Amino acid sequence: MKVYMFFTALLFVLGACADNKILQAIDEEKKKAENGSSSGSGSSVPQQNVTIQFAAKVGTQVFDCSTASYTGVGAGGGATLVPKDFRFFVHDVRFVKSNGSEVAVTLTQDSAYQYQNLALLDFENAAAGTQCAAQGNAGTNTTVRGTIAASEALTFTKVRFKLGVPQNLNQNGVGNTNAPLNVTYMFWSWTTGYKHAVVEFNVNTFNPFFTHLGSIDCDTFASPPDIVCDTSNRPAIELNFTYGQTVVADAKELYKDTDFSIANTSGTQPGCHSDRNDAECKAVLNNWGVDFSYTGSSTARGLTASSAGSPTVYPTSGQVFFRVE
Amino acid sequence: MMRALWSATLALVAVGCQNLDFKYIQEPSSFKWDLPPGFPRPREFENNPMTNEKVELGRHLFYDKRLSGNQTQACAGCHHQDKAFSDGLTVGIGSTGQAHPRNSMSLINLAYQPVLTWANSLQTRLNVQANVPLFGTTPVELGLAGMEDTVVARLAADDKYVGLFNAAFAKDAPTISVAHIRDALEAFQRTLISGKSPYDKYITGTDKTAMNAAAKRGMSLFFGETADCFHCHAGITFSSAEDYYSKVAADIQFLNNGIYNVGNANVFPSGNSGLNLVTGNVADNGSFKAPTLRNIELTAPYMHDGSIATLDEVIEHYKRGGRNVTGKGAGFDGDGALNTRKNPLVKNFSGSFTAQDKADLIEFLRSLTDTEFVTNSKFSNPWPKGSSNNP
Repeated sequence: MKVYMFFTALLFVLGACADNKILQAIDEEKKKAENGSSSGSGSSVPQQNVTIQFAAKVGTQVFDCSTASYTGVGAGGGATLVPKDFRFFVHDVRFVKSNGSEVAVTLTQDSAYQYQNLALLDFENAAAGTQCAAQGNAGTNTTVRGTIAASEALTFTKVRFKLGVPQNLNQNGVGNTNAPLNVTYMFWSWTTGYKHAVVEFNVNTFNPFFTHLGSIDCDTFASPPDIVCDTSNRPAIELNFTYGQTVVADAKELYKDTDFSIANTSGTQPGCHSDRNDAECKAVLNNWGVDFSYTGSSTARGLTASSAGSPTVYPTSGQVFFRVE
Repeated sequence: MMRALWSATLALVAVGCQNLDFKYIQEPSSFKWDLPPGFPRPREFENNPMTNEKVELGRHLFYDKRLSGNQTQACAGCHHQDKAFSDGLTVGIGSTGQAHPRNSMSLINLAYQPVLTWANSLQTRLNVQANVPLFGTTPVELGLAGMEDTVVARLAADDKYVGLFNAAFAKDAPTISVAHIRDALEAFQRTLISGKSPYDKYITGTDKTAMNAAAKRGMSLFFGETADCFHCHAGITFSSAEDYYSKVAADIQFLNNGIYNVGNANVFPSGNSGLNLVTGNVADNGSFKAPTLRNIELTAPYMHDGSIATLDEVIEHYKRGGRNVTGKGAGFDGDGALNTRKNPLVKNFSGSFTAQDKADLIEFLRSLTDTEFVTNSKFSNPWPKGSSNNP
């Protein structure tokens, strides 16, 4: 208790904004306090390594930049999709025990794909001659790696995590050059933040359908400004899970309600960029477990045009993007 | 109780520290700004203090086409010094030919601007905003998304840059990095300070004859309650956003000037409606930063979408208290004067405003042209004439 009070005091002594390490230290001290362990002794608790395997798929097929195309994706008969990009951030990864209590995973800091409690899952490899080559990079990452107390049996019933970049790491584009926050294609620079997730295909060979999930409705408060995004678009994911299983992210499920034969809404980006005016976003965001608040005027895709000032809200019935295999 | 206290503390931490490195240097540094008479010292940032070495590096980068994916366009491609760093086009055209929805802004006096670009309250630092033109994909501007290693390798292959980066970032290896590119671009752009126009010479008393009689009449209209221009185009920057050390707090306003009222539903054209695209707040539909009027004679066409060609037409729009758009289609037409979100100071003043008044007001706006700035070799292309960066 006293230790984290000290850290809090130190934080304010140091000025308006603390170093990340101090924030981490506070967080760790808080966790120890809540877990009932005595402060200061936590570092000596024996740890064990844990790994969660992720996979990106299109239905039953593995997402691979070198796959020529995937057929039968989407509503209304289905379209043929050419792979282009598949990357997303996750954070706050926890296991759930049979008694309902959570075991938080402390991510291994690897200066590549994991930073603080954030991990980037990257399934594109920028293979030459594929659609991925233009904006991707060579590396891939399909696991989340970390540690939990060695005393925990690996007999979990669920896994929980949040999709996207957490608020404290988003919207701080000044100088955060730590990997994976320095991957330029994941920048959502107009909000000074990041795309939480990127799923991109070309439909029927050439029409791009790019889905970018990100926090919107952002504003600044105080000076120097703090940025807060009211609509976080960071769905909390919970999956029934036995340790050793794979968490699958499935683009075919994400797009199961999207009819690719309907033209993209005029004046909006191709696909869905988390934009309130974008009719393509309802089906996509809802399947990500995100409510969609529509302010556009197009009635394509069965949407109700909103009158100015009163958006039409389409609540999600839950995420279908992730499953466990 | 303790837990509640904890939550409160953590909430403070979480909200207070998103821009972890955003702090002003409290004591002004030794950097020599070369400020026009009467201009206050700009703020400096702890995480990117101004140095001559960074400015020199940033100037080279600003004019370097290697900073675009296909190596055809530099920052300067859309920001020409002779046009006060705007480009004369309706909207900017990126390195791959994609049109930007917005008119390329003049890049002057950015060191005094607490918010950057047309309508984005989140863009407060040039080294962050640089990510938009460098890496943005909707639209593609310089087109470097996913190419960060490539661009670093390109620059590292040039001995000139090895020297410039080492000089600017000697203590922070590796010296050639995306972060340092952005920091140097920020440093250079912050030196683009314009304040030696005939108006400045007149107002500071360095040359009492710098403004002619018509410009002086126009000045009283500008600062008077008839045309009322000064409420939004205020301060040394003639804009609605301004900050420097001696201000208690930054002045930041986003305003609706009534140039659109699509379907008379109090909205601007979809997808280009201003601050609401960032904040999600419907009340912000049509709100933009009032841009600087310095060098305005050189930065046509006007407005965020370049939809007004001349200063004469700009004044006609304001004289009417809003623009009536007709014949542009259902996504544009409507009477901006009736837009209920319009700033109330944008009001019809045609009753008392003569043709001579309009000519005088334009003459005043022309007195804000800083010829010394647009020809200053400190801000010009540093690459050898005839090289690919200076053909």
